[in-house]
Amino acid sequence: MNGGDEAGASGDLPQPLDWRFSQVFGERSAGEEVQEVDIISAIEFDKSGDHLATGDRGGRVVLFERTDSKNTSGARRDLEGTDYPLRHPEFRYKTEFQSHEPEFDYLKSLEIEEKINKIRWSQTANGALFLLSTNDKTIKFWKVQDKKIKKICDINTDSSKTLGNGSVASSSNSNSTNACLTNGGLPDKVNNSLSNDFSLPPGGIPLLRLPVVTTSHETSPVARCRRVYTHAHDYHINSISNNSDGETFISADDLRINLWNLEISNQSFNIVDVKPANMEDLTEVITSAEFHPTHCNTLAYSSSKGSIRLIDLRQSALCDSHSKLFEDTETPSSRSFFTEIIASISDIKFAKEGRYILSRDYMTLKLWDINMDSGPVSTFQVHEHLRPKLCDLYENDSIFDKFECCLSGDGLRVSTGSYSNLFRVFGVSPGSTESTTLEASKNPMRRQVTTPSRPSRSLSSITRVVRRGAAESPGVDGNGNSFDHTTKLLHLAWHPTENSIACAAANSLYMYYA
Amino acid sequence: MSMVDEPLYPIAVLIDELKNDDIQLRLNSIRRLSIIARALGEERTRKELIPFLSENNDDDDEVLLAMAEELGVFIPYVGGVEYAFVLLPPLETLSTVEETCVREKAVDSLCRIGAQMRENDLVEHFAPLAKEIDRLKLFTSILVDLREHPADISGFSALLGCGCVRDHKSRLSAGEWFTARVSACGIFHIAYPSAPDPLKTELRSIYGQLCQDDMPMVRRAAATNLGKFAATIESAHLKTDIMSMFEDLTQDDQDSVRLLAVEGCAALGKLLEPQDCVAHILPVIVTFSQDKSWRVRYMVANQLYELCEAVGPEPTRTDLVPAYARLLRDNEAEVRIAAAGKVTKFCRILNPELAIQHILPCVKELSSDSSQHVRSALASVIMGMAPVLGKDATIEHLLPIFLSLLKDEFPDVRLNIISKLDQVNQVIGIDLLSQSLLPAIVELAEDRHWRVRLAIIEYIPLLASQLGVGFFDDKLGALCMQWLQDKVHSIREAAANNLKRLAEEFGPEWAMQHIVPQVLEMINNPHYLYRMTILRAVSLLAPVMGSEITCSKLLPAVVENMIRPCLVELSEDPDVDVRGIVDLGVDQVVKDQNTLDVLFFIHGYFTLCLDRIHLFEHSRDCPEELLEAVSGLLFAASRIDLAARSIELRSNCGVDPKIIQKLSTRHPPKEVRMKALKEIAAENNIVLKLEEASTSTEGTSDVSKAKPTSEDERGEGCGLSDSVKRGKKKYKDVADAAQAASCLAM
Repeated sequence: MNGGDEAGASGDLPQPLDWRFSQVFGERSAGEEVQEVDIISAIEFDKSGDHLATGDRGGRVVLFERTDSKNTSGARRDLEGTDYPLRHPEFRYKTEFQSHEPEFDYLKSLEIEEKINKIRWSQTANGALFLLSTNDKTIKFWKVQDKKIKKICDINTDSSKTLGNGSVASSSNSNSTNACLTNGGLPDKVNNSLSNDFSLPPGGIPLLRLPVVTTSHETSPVARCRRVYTHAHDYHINSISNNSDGETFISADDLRINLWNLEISNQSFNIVDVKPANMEDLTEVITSAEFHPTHCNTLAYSSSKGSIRLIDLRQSALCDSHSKLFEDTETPSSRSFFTEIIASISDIKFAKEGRYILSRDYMTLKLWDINMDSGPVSTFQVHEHLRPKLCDLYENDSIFDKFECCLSGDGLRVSTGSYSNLFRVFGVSPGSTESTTLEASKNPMRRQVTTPSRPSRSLSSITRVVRRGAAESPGVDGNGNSFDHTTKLLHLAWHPTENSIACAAANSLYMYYA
Repeated sequence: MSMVDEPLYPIAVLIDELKNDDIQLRLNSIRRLSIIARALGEERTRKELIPFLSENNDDDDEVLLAMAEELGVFIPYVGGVEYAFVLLPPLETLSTVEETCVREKAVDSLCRIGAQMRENDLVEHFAPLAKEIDRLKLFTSILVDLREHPADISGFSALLGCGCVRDHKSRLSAGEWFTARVSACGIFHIAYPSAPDPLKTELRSIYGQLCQDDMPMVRRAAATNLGKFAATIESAHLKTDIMSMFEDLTQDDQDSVRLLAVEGCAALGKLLEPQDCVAHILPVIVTFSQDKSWRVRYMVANQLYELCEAVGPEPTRTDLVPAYARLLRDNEAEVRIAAAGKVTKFCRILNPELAIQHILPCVKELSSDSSQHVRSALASVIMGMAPVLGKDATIEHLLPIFLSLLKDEFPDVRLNIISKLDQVNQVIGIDLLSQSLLPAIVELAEDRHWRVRLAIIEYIPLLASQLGVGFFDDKLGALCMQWLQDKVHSIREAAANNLKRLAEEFGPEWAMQHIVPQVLEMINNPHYLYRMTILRAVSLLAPVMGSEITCSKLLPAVVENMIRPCLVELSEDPDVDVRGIVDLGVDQVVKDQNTLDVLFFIHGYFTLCLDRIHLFEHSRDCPEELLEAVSGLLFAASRIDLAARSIELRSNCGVDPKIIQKLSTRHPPKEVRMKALKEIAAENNIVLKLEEASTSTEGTSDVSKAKPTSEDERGEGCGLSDSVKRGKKKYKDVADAAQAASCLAM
C-alpha cells in the first residue's frame, strides 16, 4: 500500500493509494462554533499546482502557496524532487482578500449574498496570479502580485516630511496653503509656473532631484480587482470556466450560459438558453458547465435531470442544440419519488486530456467517455448506505446538497465528498477495485472500510449520539458509516500533478497526500 | 534634503509626487513629465529620469498607460532623435505588462519613436528588441534542458547573470512571460525595413516562430500584425516566408487565431500579384468559407468582397461567387446577416449577369429568411443593387423582393427599405412601388412602438421628395398632421420638425396651402401640450415661410387664439395678484419674429399659471416651480409693453435665458428698473418674493436653478434656439440682443 510501489507493480493496475494527512488550515478547536461566514464554499488548485485558492461564504478568497516552490527556480525544485521522491506538496498561507461584499439589487429587491460560488485560475502572466471568482451574480477578475516593499527617501521638499505626503500632495493640484507654509507664500505661482511659458534654464536645474526609492527584498502580495463582469445573469451563477484560448470564459446560471471575453466586462454573449417561453414548462435547469481543457470550441454542461450535453461553439451562435448528449439510459430498478431528485448532477469535470467527463449526482460518481454516448464508462456508489434514508434527507433538504467531484492529474482516480466529513477515492482504471473512504480529520484512515456500501444502520444512530455528545471532538466520534448530515464535505480538489487532495470541512481546509 | 528655490517649488512637488501614495497625484505628475524633464535638463533626463521611470514600472495601470503615452512624444526632452534610443528600455518594459491597453500604447509609442529614429539607430536598438523575445525562447529551451540535467546549476546561474532570463520563477514560465512576445509582434514592421539582410532573415524566422508559439495570445498577436509586417517585406520573401506563416496560422487549432488570419487575407491578397493571390490566398479563403466554425465563416462573409478585387474577375467567377452563394445560404443566421449586409458591395464588383445568375436566387431566399435580422440586414442594402442590375433586371427580379420586404412583419425591415428608396427611384421610378409603399408607411406610422414611428417620420421628407407633391398630398399629408397629436413628446417634436422640412422641400406656397391651415386649426386644442406643439411648429415654420406670411397669417392667429384667451381668463381671475401680472401684458401685439418664439414660452407659462392658480390662493410665497413662469411673464410683459415701465430681473430669479435673449432691448437705467420692481413688489406679494431673489447679490449665473416646470415643457423649449440659428440672416438683431442679454445677466 505504498505509492512508491506503483511503478513496479506487476499488473497494469495501479496500487491503491495510501493516504496520509498532510496539513490542516483553520482547524477547529474543541467546542468552537463555526461561523457561517467562515465556511469554505470553493476550492481550486491552479494549473501548476503551486497555488491553491479557497473561497468562503463571507466573500473572502484565501490563497495558499506551495512552500517548496518559493524562492527556488523550477529547475531547482525538480532537482530536489528527484532527490526526495516522496516529498509531498505542502502549502502555506499566502494572502487573502475580500472578493465580494453583500449587495442589494434595488431593481429586483433581491439580496445578493457575498458567498463565493466558484473560483477559477486564469493564465499567470509576468509573475502575477490571475483568478476569477464569482458569487451568485457577479464575476470578478483578480490579479495577485507580489509587490516589493518600497520606501521613498530623499525628496525635494523636505517639508513633506513634517507635513505628511498628503498635504503636500494637495498643493500642486489646488495651489493650496501648504506651499506658503514652507516657502514663504507664493501659492499662485504653483500653477502659473507649471504652465508652458515658464522659462527653464536649458541646462536644467541642478537642485532638483528625483525621489530615491529603496527597494527592500521583502515582498507582500497585493490583490487588485481588474475587471467586474456583472448584470448578465438573471439567475444564480453556478459555474465559471476558462477557455483554453486564454481570452474567453463562460459563466452558467440555472437557465443560461454566457460567453465573455476576459478583457471586455460590459458585454457577453448568450450561448445557451434553456429558458422555456413559459416558465411553467420548466423541467430542467443547468447545474454545472465546463470548457473542454484543450478544445476551445467544446463545452459541457450538466442538468438537473442527470444529463450532460456537449456543445460545439462552432456550430452556431446560440448553441441550444447540443452536439452530444450523455444520459444514463439504464432505468433504475425501483423508481421512486426521489429518482429524479437524486439524478440531478451537481458537478462535472473534464479529465486532463478532455476525453473523459466525471459527473457527480447525489448517490453516484459517473465517468463518461465523450466518444461513447450510450452510457457511463463506470459508475461508483458514493454512499449507497444512505439510500434507505432518502426520505429523511429529503425532509432536511440534504438531498439537494451539491457535492463536487474531482479527478487526479493522471486521470487514474476520482474523488468526491459525502456526509460526516467523509470523502471517497475510487480507481477508474478498468478492473480497478480501489475504493477508499477517508475522513477529513488528522487521521483520515481511521475509519477506513473496505466495503463502502456495507450497511451499518445499527450503529449509525449510536454514533450520532456519540458525536453530539462528544462536542465535535474529532478524537471521540464513532466509526463505521455513521451519518451526520450537518457535516458534509462538498468541496474538494485534486492537485493537478501529484496525488494530493485538498478538501473543505466546514471552515477547515484539510490536505492529504499519497 | 535639499532646499529648493522658491520658483522651483512647484516642480519639486511635481517630482516628489511621482512617488506619492495617491494615484491621482502620481498620474498628474506623469502627465506633466515633460515639465519635469525640462526642469532636469536633457542630460539628467536621460541619465536619471528615464532610468528612474524604467525602474518604477510596477505602478497602477492608469499610471503606466499615461507613462507609455508620454514617452511616445518624449524625444525632444531627451535631446532629440539621436538620443531617442534611451526611451526604448522603459517602453520595452511597459510593453510586457499584462494589461493589454498599456501594452498597446507602449507598442504604439515604440513604433512612433522607431519611425523617427535614424536608420542605423533602428538596427542597433530596435532589432534587438524584436529579438529579445527570441532570447527568451532560447533560454526557456535551455531551462527545459536544465530540468533534464539538473547538475548543471552553475551554467544556469551564469545565464541568469545575463539578465535576459526573466522567467526563472516557475517551471511554467515558458508560458508565463508571453506578454513580451505579444508586444514584440507589433514592432517587427518598424524594425524590419532598415535592418541589414542577415538580421532581416533572422527577424523573419523569429516571426515564424511567433506564429507557432505555444500561447494562443501570441499567435493571435502574430496573426493580427502579419499584414503590417508583410507590407514591409520584399516580395521574394513574401511568397515564401510570409505565406508559410500565413498557412500555419490558417491551420491553427484555435478558432480565435484562424479568425484573425481571415482578417489578414484581404490585406495579404492586395500585397501579392494576382496569380500568387490565386495560388495562395484563394484556396485558403475557399476552405475558410466552409470552415466548421461559424465565426470563421462570418469573418469570410465580411471580407470576401475585398478579395474579389485582388484575385481578378475569372477566379472570382469560378471560386468566390460559389463560395459567397454558400455563405448566403449558411446554416448560421449570423453568417447570413454578415453575407446579406455585403450583397450590394459584392454585386458591384461582379458583372450583372453573374449577379443575376448566382446571387439573386440566394437573395430571394434571404428575403423570406426565418431570422428577422437577416431580412433587416438585407433590406438595408438591397436597394443599392438596383443601379447595379439596371432597370429591367430590377423590375423583373428585385421588385418582388422589395415588395415582400415592404410587407415584412418586422418594422426594421420595412424601415430599412424605405430609408433607401432614393436608390431605387433613380432606376425604376417610384410608381411601381407606391402601391405597396403606402400601406407600409401607414402601418409604420401607427406602429405601437414610438421609436418606429419616430424612424418613419425621419424618412417622410425623403419620401416626399421621391414620391412628389401629388402623391404626398393625397396620402401622407394627413399622417403628418396626425403625428402632431401623438402621445409621445419626441414624436410631436419630430412631427413639428417634419413640417418644416416639408415646407422646405415643397416651398412656402405649398406649405401655405397644405400645412398652415391644418396647423392653425389645431391651435384651439384643449390640451396645452398639444397647443405647445403647434406653437413649436409655427415657430419652426416661420423662417421657412418668410416674414410676410408669418406676420400676416401666423402671428395674428397665434395671438388671437392663444395669448388673448389666456390673458382674458387670467384677468378674470379672482386673485388680485394674478390680475396684476396680467395687466402688464395685455393686448400687446408682437412685431417681429423673436417674439414668436417667446410666445411659445408665454403660452406655456400662462398655461402653467392657470393650472397652478390655486396655489397662489393658499400660499403667500410663490411656489418654486412657478417662479420661472411668473417672472418670465413679468419680464416678457415689460418688453412687449414698450412703455417706459420695464423691469430688469437678475438671472437668478428664474427667467429663462432664452426669453431674455429674445426680448432684451437697450439697457435701461438701473434706478428705473429698481423703481419699477419696487412698485410691483409693493403691489403684490408674489413679486415680493421675486424682489428678494432679484436683489440678492450672489449666484449671478444661477440659471440652472430655475427648475423646468415639467419635463415636457422643458423639452419643447429646447429646440427654440435651433430656429433662431436658422433664421440668423433674417434676424440679425437676435444675435445683438443675445449679446446685450448676456451683458445684462452679468
